Amino acid sequence: MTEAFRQGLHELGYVEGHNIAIEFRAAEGSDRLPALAAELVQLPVDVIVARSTDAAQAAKTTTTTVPIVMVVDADPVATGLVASLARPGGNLTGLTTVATGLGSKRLELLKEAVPSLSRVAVLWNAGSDAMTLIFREIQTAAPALGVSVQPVGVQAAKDLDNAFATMTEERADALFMITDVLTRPYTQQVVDFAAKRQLPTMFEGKDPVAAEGPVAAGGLMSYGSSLTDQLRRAASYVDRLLKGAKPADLPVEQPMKFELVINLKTAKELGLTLPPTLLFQADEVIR
Amino acid sequence: MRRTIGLLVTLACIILGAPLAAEAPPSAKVARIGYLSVGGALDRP
Repeated sequence: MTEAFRQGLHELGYVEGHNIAIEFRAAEGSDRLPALAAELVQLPVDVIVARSTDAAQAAKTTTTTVPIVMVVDADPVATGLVASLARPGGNLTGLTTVATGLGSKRLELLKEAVPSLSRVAVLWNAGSDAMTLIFREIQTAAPALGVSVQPVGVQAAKDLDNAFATMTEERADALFMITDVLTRPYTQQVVDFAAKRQLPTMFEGKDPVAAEGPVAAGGLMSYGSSLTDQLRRAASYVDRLLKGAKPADLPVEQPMKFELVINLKTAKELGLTLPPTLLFQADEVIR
Repeated sequence: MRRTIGLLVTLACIILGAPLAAEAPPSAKVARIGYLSVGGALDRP
């Protein structure tokens, strides 16, 4: 994942060990983030890149002077990281992979694929404020599309079995999975569960890590921005900050490009005939 | 005469010293970036 960030730096003329050094700190969970942020500040570093809402929050709490570039998956205004996207203020700026109306758009696409959709189960990490924001956006958008939401929040891996049981009992018409560090390892299980229950699925986007994303693995569709692209663009923030720009003056960037991926094989197995208008919008169709 | 020699020596030192100063490697600044994540393949949330 960090490769995209390194690539971005390289494109801007930075060579590791020559004119730039990167100190990586992975907390393996959120608890150690404040300690690791403090460690980076003490080194010291010139800029901190924070890859998540929790990491950005930890860095922001730790320092008011070292510039911070965040790459987050939730609305940074709603999570209190910045005052506004245009004028972030303080020592933090960066990029987000979400855009206004994304939850609504994903539901619209799902409804286009499944016109009879009236109830969608949403699986997400309820222990994460950032992921809960994404869930709430879907929940808010649903009524306008004539869809009700079945919340299936999990807080630990052990909750997954209960989540599957709940979804089986309260049968929904489709399943929407919000991917994060907790739910991602279970993507294949979710895909298999959905196939067994004949549930159309919507995922947030192509998996930037796995060679095969959730749709290639058998999910019906995904729609989202490219995290890899956002990480590469984070390098340009680092570059500008190193050249003296002030974080408060650099607007937070939202994604401009989104990718729709559809698996036609899965659609056939589900007995769905996808309208040409939907297929026309797809960036990738798996046959 | 002594003054002229002194001036010539000073001038020679400046001329000879200039290239050395120009060729001295600049103290290249290595920027240090901290990359903080929760870990895991997706680096999220």
